[in-house]
This record gives sequence, structure tokens and C-alpha cells, in this order.
Amino acid sequence: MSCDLTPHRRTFALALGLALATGAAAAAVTEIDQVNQRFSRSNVTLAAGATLTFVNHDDVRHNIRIIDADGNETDKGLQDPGQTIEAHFDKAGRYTARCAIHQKMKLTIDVQ
Amino acid sequence: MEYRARCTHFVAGLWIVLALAAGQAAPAHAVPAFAEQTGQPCAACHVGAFGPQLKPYGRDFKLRGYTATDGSKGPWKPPIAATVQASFTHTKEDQSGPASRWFAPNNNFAMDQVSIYYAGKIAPNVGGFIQVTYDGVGRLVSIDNTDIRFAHEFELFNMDNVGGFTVNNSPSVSDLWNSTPVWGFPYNASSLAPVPVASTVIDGQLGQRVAGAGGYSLLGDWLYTEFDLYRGLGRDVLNATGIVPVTGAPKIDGLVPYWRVAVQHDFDQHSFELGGYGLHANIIPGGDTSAGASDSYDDMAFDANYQFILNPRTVVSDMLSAHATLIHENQNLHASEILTGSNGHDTLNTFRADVSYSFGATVTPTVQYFRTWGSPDAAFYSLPNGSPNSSGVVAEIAYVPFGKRDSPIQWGNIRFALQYIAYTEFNGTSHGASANDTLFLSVWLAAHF
Repeated sequence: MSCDLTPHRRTFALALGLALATGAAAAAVTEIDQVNQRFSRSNVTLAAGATLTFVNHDDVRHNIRIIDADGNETDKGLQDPGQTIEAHFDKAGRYTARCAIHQKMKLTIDVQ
Repeated sequence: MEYRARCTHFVAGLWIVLALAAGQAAPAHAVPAFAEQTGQPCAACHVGAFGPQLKPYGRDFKLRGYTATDGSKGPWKPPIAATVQASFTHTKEDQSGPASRWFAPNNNFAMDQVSIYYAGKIAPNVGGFIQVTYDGVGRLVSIDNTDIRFAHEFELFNMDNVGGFTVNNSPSVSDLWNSTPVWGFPYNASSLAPVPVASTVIDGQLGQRVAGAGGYSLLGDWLYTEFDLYRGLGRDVLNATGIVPVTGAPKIDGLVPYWRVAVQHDFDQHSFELGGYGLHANIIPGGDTSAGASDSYDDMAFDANYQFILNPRTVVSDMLSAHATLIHENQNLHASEILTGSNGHDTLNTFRADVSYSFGATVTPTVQYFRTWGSPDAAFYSLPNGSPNSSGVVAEIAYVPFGKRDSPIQWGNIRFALQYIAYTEFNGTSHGASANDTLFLSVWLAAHF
């Protein structure tokens, strides 16, 4: 059985495919703002393979650390004002993002 | 005149030594050692870009044991810093004798203090603030404010909490707010001007004469509690740590419990605190045990803090800061009644309230009202009418050119201040109280190594 699509149906399918692809890409990157020495959210849920971007809107440096459930820590380095830092999450589990300089900053990340 | 010249040369020389020493250190983001450790400018922690008045981040840094770091991977350096305070004091009328040994009755230049600090992280979860001071007026070296603490986070009732332990040498030196005695306004004052005789025990009388330890916690970023137990230091220890005079000084009898409770929270632009603190102390007046008794003091105080940050996104934002405290002391003078004929029971109260507005963390005017009042007791206070009452106003304007992210000098900071204290009542009398009005010009240098 063949699948012949009319030009209108073909355009619709293409648009739908693009929309889904774009939506998937958008869902894979989540932005967290650092404002007033706080994260803009206290928790976030991601799909495995997703990326978090941290955008420093403060006029001081931050130092993001990602800590997994076993306590292993990944230092994302110093983050200057205005700088964006990315963190990828390939494995499911619970993570915590902290700032080593501003220890009150805490973000819980659930990766499913 | 010769002394003034010597003093000026000494301060200039010391600043040059500090500058040279600090210049050899790696450039850092600010001063002194805390700023070096965190990579943050002074203005991140302090109102007006200079200690000791704390902003929300400064309080959190202290709460968590002075351990925050910027993660720099360079070789470890001990967090050492130094400060120098120099001043000129003028009182409205000359004092009846020298303002202090080596000084004139009025118009004195002084190199008030040179302090060296170990201030920062010692180990994971452990940090300290340890100050050793040369007192240029008394010409003595002593161990000054000290607070070594262990802090850690814990979860309870599904909340993030911080708890810890502190070892320190003064009730309220471990406190996070500038309404309590040790870190309250004025942040520096003349050692060469007359001051009222009466003060409550918790209002600085035990500083560096005791050592103690205790625990504290902040539950859910709302409820702060602390309990410490102190013991008076022996004469040998006081001598060794430079706290004099020892002979004829009051002796602390037994343990001194200190407590602190505060409800607090930081909102976007607003921070508030409402709380209380107090202690109980038994003190043998003059160290004279012949009465076979001690005086018993129960201090209970209320305090409040409010801060408004105009733009929390920037550390150099304009900022309003207000503090108030009311201390009530019950004195059961069992020993003094026998030794000096004082009343058997007195009360003493102190109220202070100050408000400051910091313009761009650079120019910070502050005004404070203060009042002390209590039971008249001529034998106890050794005053003509026996009244301990004093009141007045302190007005100050401070200028701090550095301590910000883009300051040209990143290894040091400097604070110039003009302060005036006007008394409406002094040691129980309003007549002639203004003779003690004091003009105090000070410069305060800070650097890390």
C-alpha cells in the first residue's frame, strides 16, 4: 500500500514534523536564571539527555557545582556576570546544583 | 606636635608596608581575606562596602562557617588580613586630665588599632575569624574578637536548615546581625573621649574575658537559635592574652549561659529580623572574694533589624539599613552591697536605634539615638548623684571609595569617617553633658596578604 499525500497534506506533515522536532529540541534545553544570588527555580524535571543552561544575571561571579545522588561533584568553573554555563544530564537520577560562593543557592534537578 | 608627626609618619609607613606586602600577593577581587577567598568584593557582604555591617550574603557566609570559596585552584594560602585604624579626637571641652596615658586632655591624634586576622576557611565545614590587635592607645597586644565555627546543612521537616557549633570569646560575637552589642553601631569610636560609666554586662563587659562554646541553627531560613556557655578566663590566661588590667578587675564566677532567638527572612528587596538575646552572669566585683558572694546579673534584650536593597541585582546598590535593641538588666548586688554599701537590687536599661542609607556602597550616613537609664546607686556607680542615666545622638558619614567589583585597588580598602556624638545627658546629669560631645575623624585601612 502506497502512501500518496496531496500537496496540502504533505505541507501539513512537514510542518508538523518541524514543529515536533523544534519542540523536542526546545524541551531538551532548559534555562535557569541566576538573579539576586538565587536560582530562578528551586526544582526542575528533565528528560535524560537534556541540557540545563545557567545564565548569570547578577553582577558578581558564581561557581556552579553539580552534585549527583552519590555526592560526586562536578565543578562547572567560575561564571562571570552575563556568562552562560551549560550542564548536560545523560543519566536518570536526582542531582543538585549549588553555588560554591553563594551557598544558599540550591536547585534540585530530577532527570527521568 | 612631635607625637602627631610621629603618628602620621607611622600610619603612612604602615600603609606603605601593607601596600608593598599586598602588592606582592596575587591580585584578588577584594579585601580582606574573606573577599579574597570568595572572589567577591567587600560590597557583596557589607553595607557601605566595609565591615562590619552585614548584608544578607554576609550573614549567610558567617552562618555557614566562613567556608564559601570561589573554587580557585591556586595553591592554598592562609587567609590573612590586616587593618589599621587611625584617628583624631576632639571633645567640646578639655578633659580634666590626660585623655589617656601618653595623650593630651584634648585634640588627640592616635593610631588606634593595628589588627591581624586569620579569617576564612580552615577545613571543610570549618572556618574562623581570629583577630589579634595592637591597641595604640593602651599600647598593648591582645587577642581580640574570635569566632571559630563548624557548620553543616541538614534536612528536617522537609526543610533545608543550617546548624553548627561555635567556639568564641564574647557573647554576641557569633551573632549574624548588627543590632547586638559586639558588632553594633558605631563600628569604630574614640578611645580617647569620655564615655558613660554605666553599661549592662551583655553590652561588651565580658568581651575577651571569657571563652565559650555553643551550638546554633537556622531552621527553614526563618528561625535562628543559639545557645552558648562561657567561662571566665583565669588571671594567667588574661595576662597571656593581653587583657589587662587583671588586678582589681571583676572576676566571673561560674558559667555564663547566653541565648539567642530570632525570626528572620530575606525577601527580594527586604530583609527583616525580630528577636531576643540574653545571659546570666555571676561576677565578683573587683575580684574581691571577701564578701563570700557575687553579684548576679540577668540580661534580657529585644532586637530588630530591617534592610532594604534598592536593586538586589547589583552589589553596589543603594541600601537602607536599620537596627534597634532594648536591653534590660536585673542586678542582684549581693557582693557589692556588702563591699561598697550599694543597693541590694538595681535595674539598668539600654536602648539604641540607628538607621543608615548607603549611596552606591560608597557614601553612608548613619544616625543613632541611644539612651541608658536605671536605678540610682551612688555607691555602685561612683557618680555624684548616683544616676546611671545617659543619652544622646551619634551622627556619622563614612566614605569608602573602593571595595567594589571595578575598584582600581583590589587588594585593599579604606574607610574615612566623620563622627559626632552629642550628649543630652551624661552620667546622670544633663547639666554640662554637652562638654563631652565628641568629634571623631577616623581612617580605617584594610588589606589581605
